[in-house]
Amino acid sequence: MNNRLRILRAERNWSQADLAQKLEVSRQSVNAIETGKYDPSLPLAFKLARLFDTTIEAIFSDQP
Amino acid sequence: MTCNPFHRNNSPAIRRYTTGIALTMGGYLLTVFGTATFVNHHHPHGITVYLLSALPAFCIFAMLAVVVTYLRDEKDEYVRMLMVRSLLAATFVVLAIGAYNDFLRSFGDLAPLPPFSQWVAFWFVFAIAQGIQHCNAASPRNNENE
Repeated sequence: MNNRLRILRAERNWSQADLAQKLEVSRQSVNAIETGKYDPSLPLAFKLARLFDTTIEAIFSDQP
Repeated sequence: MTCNPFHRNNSPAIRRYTTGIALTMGGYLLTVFGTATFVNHHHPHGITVYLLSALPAFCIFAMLAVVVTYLRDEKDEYVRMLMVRSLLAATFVVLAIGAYNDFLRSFGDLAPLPPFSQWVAFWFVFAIAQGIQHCNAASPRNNENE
């Protein structure tokens, strides 16, 4: 699954560690999601969407 | 970020897990060597032998409880998934070693493995699996534009 997490994070000038702290997860988790190695659960996806004030579909896409 | 195979987060869950595993591992070693020493010196028979043999197994159940509690309490789902993968890897390697050893024994070509060898193999494979996964997660390829 593709995602725009790195772009959204860069727009806010947040490091992976900053985002991890806001999500209350490890930096490894943020890295794994950004690189597409791990697809987050629905609760974490909703948390991401709320944090970036957008929708889950605006962050994640199953299209190449 | 450099690879640190011993990387761990500092969540309350991992602290409780580390303490719990250390205590249950200590208990396991004490029961293994305690029961072996007792049996070698007193040569018990019957129900006593069965009860003594069960003591180390109780410590392994306690370890299982510690791991299950950690998996229930860890809030970081990715770290939790890495732990589950490592536990599965360790479980299947130990099952494979056990099966291999059992078949060799049944064919009469091998003496039994030491009593706690599977326990050592389990935690060894678990540690290797955790190290590989954490190094993989921290590899430079995965940290572009951090």
